Amino acid sequence: MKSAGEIRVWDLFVRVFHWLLVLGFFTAYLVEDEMLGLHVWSGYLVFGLALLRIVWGLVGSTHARFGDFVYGPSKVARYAKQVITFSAPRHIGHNPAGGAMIVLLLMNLILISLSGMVLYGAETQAGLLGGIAEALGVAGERGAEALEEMHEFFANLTLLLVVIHVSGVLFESLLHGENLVRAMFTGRKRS
Amino acid sequence: MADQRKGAVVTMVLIAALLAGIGVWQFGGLGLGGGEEHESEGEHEYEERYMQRGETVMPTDDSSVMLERIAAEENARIVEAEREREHGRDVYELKLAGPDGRVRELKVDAGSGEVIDRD
Repeated sequence: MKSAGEIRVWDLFVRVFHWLLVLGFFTAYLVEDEMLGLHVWSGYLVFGLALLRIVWGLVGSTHARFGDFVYGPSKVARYAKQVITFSAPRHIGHNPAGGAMIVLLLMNLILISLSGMVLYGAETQAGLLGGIAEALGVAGERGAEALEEMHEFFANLTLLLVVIHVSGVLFESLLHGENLVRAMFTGRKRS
Repeated sequence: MADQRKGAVVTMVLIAALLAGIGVWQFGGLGLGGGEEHESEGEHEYEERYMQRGETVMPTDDSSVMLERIAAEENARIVEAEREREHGRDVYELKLAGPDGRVRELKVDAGSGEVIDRD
């Protein structure tokens, strides 16, 4: 199946992680608390995936590692400038801006998951963090309300980031004449 | 390699700081206890929160008495009550926690207290 001139870039874990994350995030985002059970389990999925991705960022294959795609701030800024002037160089793995986006998204998702679990705990004294919510003293109306605001705010922020992420992917695809969305399915890119 | 690693750590710290900054800016402190100022985002949807002091409900609010009665009939405690306009009808969406800790939703007519929908 491997055509000439193509190389494996995204390993199986990265690809499955990516699309499960899309599924989990949007399921949770769209059903909100209309179907709380589904929402909560989607949230657990997102949280678990984010944690596994961090582990994989340390021990995974070449382009899955943080060391491969997290660059210093000056490099990220320089790359962003190059993007604006249509002169951004092609990267086999994640480019510096994409890498920063991954870190930003992962942190956001963990924040949303944790606030969601504490919120669920505060409202129902159930779930993984029910006891912690009580210990933090956020159980009851006031705390739950503030947490809910935070949970929603960061979820909306993540949606915005996803829009930027997809825009970046499409832009880079056009710039370098390759289909990066396809690459996230097949794992392969032109060498 | 060491430089790259250092830069990566700086980027991660900056991003974390950015998020923390956004959190503080939006919610003040750690987002706990600061919810009051950010009450509503939707204009047609506003939340009516319960002023519960222990077991007693503020007696001045007719609708909260009504909702408490409904909760009592359902053998559950109110977790959240939202007033919404749905198809031109004012309804309360109640989140109720039963004795087993499970949360259910109940929709009641804001005027009559009639139960419209339960999940």
